[in-house]
Order: sequence, then structure tokens, then C-alpha cells
Amino acid sequence: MDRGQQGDIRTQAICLAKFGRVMRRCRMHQIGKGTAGKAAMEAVRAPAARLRGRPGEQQHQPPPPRDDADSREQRAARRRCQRMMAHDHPRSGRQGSQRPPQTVALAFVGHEPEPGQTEWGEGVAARHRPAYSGAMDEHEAAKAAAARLAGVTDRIAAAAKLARRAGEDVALIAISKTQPVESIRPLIAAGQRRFGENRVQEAEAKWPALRDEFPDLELHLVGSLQSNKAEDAVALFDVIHSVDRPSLVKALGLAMDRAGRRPDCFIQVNIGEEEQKGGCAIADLPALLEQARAADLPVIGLMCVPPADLEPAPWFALLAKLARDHGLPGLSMGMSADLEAGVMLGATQVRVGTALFGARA
Amino acid sequence: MKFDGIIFDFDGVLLESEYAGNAHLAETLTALGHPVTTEESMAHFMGLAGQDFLDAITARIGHPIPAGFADIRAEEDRRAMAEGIDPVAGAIAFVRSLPPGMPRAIASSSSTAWIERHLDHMGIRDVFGAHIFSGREHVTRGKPAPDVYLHAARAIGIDIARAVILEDSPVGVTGAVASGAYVIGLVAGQHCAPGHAERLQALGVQAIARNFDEVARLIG
Repeated sequence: MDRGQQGDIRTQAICLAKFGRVMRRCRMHQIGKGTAGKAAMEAVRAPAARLRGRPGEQQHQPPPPRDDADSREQRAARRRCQRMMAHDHPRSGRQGSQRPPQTVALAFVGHEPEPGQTEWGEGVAARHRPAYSGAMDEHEAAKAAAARLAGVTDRIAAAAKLARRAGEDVALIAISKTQPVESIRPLIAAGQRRFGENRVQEAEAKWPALRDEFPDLELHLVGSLQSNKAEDAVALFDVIHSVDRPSLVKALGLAMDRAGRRPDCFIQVNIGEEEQKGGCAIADLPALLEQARAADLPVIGLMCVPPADLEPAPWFALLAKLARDHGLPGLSMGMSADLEAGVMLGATQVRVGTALFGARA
Repeated sequence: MKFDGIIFDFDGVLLESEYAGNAHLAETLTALGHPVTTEESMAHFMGLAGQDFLDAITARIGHPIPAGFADIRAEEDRRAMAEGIDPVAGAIAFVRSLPPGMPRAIASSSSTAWIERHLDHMGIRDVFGAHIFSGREHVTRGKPAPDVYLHAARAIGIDIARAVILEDSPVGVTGAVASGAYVIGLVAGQHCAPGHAERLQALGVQAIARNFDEVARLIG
């Protein structure tokens, strides 16, 4: 990439950061000013989470009031927000902006009523659940997991259809970080085979036994990776989404040479240029990519986690442009709350946790 | 004016073509022996193209595509081009009221031939001059990619971050939001069913307008 192109991309990134979708941040800023910050954040997150509901989903609550016009004060707030964008990134994850978990009704089937019971229902099931056998729980968990999986694959298929893409071209990775094996099994039973973990150690404790049992599982590392864990990661994972710095490229290259095993890699880009986020800076991408290719890392695409609470579409579009500019076919982008935007803008891999497992405890 | 320029989607924003097309589709299927209302047609077939469109019809009527269907559709396209289609209520007055120096463009998935002909019918071709851009003709990637909006903004000499886009469809809105512009979801067309505004909000539009008076207030 020449300097001019880099300049273009930087300009686009800055422009997106400035005006992409800052209204929510503005509201947060206005509400947060002079009040207890935490309460203000909560006040903003609720409508934000509602706004981020999936397209077509029944909205039970009325949408938050929309500003009829931008007042001078609001524009000033937006400018303040731009400064916040540049200097203040209070949170590290996206959990805050994720949609609340979908409620999956548990069907109550397969058992006769106990004496004295006159009606079936969730209330009855809940009161008596501890008395039921493990087999019953397993059956219910499997049904609930299958329903959640079907819900997510339907969302992917609907978004893909709108974008004239085939739903099968989008790989669904179930993010099972912090989930115990007993929560993972029902999803495997429902047919899910691609799983993603954040930490090498946690994955080592959970997956080798499951892999023996289900040899066709595909394991993805989506969390940041320390160079001293590169060897373990190469041994365990099939795809690594978080390659983001020269020292890690070097360590992975050596580990792959030694192991004779070369997991596919995504370069993680810090697309919002946020200080606390992992990922390489946009400006550093060409050099890192060159180094990764020289070290024989099979780089198949780019990955990003866009800034929380901003509309993700501009960042996804920018990541797609970077991937095109560098001739990379893969795009790992989109999670529970924003997979539609990811798929419509070209995602080949979406990383979904909450919508498949429910909210993390 | 809070924006340096304005970019319009065409079908469903300026032209009632979504509604007209579905009304004709419903009439055609009904005449061929498969009764379908315009509302059903919009609910089940709108936004689909090619084989997906034909599959949806087959599934809905429980019968293969009737003989003569393609010919009737092609004839209707010719008639629409020759005779015109109603504009969206308030659209003509709105585009005529734009400040004379304000950069404006159309960014659509339709062909420029379709857009120009209907602008002629509406009598507002002069408002847009040469600034008519097609996702099929001017860029490699059409909507939902943001490219046609970025192309239009460049062509009329404005920064996309200072542009306002009027869009009505989920696919168009996704690309418009991705471009980084201020996006108004316009639900003025007769094809916008209840819940459409909420659907566009979920995709990230900054504001919803139910008619062109509301658009005027939003950008004023």
C-alpha cells in the first residue's frame, strides 16, 4: 500500500470515528455530566441495547425518543464526544453494549403430572425441577440450545439473503469462553462444531477431551495471545484470530515450524484506534502482514472488535476495505448484537456467545 | 442547514415503485388464479430478487410459477417506464425546496436509465443534473456496501461525514450507516408496514421521518 492509500484509509477512519454513530455517546456524555457516572451509563445502556435489537424482532418497548433536530448544544456535545473518542475509553469489552439475552421458553414435556397437579407450566416446572432426573435436564438443555442455535443461524441466513450472499458462506463460531463443558455439550448435540475461546489455559482444560469424543470440532482462539503461550496455542487451536504484533508473529512462526502444524490466522486490527484494545494499528497493518507472510503464517483475513456503543457498520466497512486492499478473503467481524451488520458488510466468520449460551453469569 | 449535502435513495424514497410493483405483482398472481393481496405481496416478496424471489412466490402460492408470468412482468416494466409511477407524497415539493446551491445526488441500486426516466416523469430531472449514481454502474460493490454513497459524496464534492442520506430499505440503510453519513430512515412510502421504522432503527439510522415535512425539520 502506498502512502496515499494509507492516508485515504486514515482519513476515512478519522471521519468515521468523528461522525459514524456518536449520538449515543453524546447522550451518555450529556447525561453523565455532573451525575454519578455509573448510573448515567446504565441509563444510556438500556435504550442503546434496545436499539441494537435484531432487525424484525418484536420491540416490546417503545423506541427511545428521537431528537427531531440537532440543536447547537447537541452539536457541541457531539464535538465533545469526538474528544472522548480520542482520549477516553473507559471500558475494555463490548459486554455493556450487547443485547440482553434472548429468553428461550423451556418446553415442559415428557413427564406425567404428579398427584395433585392440575396444570402444566413453567411455574410448575420451576418448582419441581430439582426433583427431575439428569436425563430430563439434558433433554431440556438440548432443546433450548437447539432453539438458540436455530435462532442465530436464521438471523445469519436472513442477513445474507438481503446482501445476496449464501448463508453457508458465513461461519458461525460459538464463543464458549467461561462456559462449562456441560453448557457446551448441548450445542454440540445440536450440531454446532466451531467454537471459540479467549484463553489458552481455559481451552486446554475444556477441549482436549471433547475433541477426542468429537474429532470434527474446530477450535478458534479469539482472545489476545501472549507470546509465551504461542506454542500451546499452535498445538490446540485450528484458527487464531488475534495475531496483532511483531513479537507474536515471530513466536507463532517459530512455534508452527517446531510443531509442523500451521493454524489459519487472522490479523486483529484495532479498528477504532482505542488505547485499551488489542489489535494492530491500521497504519501498522501492511508491515505486520508482510512480516506474518514472511514467517509463513497462513493469514486468511482480518478481525476486529469495533468500539462499544457506537454503530458498528462503519468499522465493519472499513475492515472490509482494508481486507480488500490487502487481498485477504476472510473477515472475522460481528457478534451477538451486531451480526446482521457484519454479515451484510461481508463477514465470513461471526463470533457469537450471548445469543447461543445466554448472558454470562 | 446542518449538512453540506443530501443524498437520496430512489425507489421507495422519491418514487412509489415498491408499492406499485407489489400491487401489480398481486394483481398478476390473482389474475393467474392465485389470489394474493398487495399487503401479502409486500410482506413476502419485497426485497427479494432472482431465484429467491421466484422461490418465495412458489412457496406462497403452493404452485410452480404460472405460465406467462415473466411476460406480464416484463410488459409492466415497459409500461411503468413509458407512463411513469406516482412519486412518494411530498417528494417533488421537497426536492424543489432544497437551497439552490446545496449539493444533492441520487444513489440507487436501480439503473440510471430507470432513474432518469422517472425523474423526467416527475419533472425533477433538472434538480439532480448529472448527479445520478447507480450501485450497478458506478461502483463494483452495490448496496449494502457503502461504496455508492461514498462515490456520490465525492462526485458532488462533499465530505460524507457532512452528508445526510435518505433511505427506506434495510439493505440501503446498512450501507448508508456504514458510509459514516447521517442517515434518516424515511418511512413515507406506502410500502412501509408497521414495524418498518423500528427495523431501520435497529440497523442504526440516526433518525426516522414519517414524511418529507419531518425530513425538512430534521435537516433544517
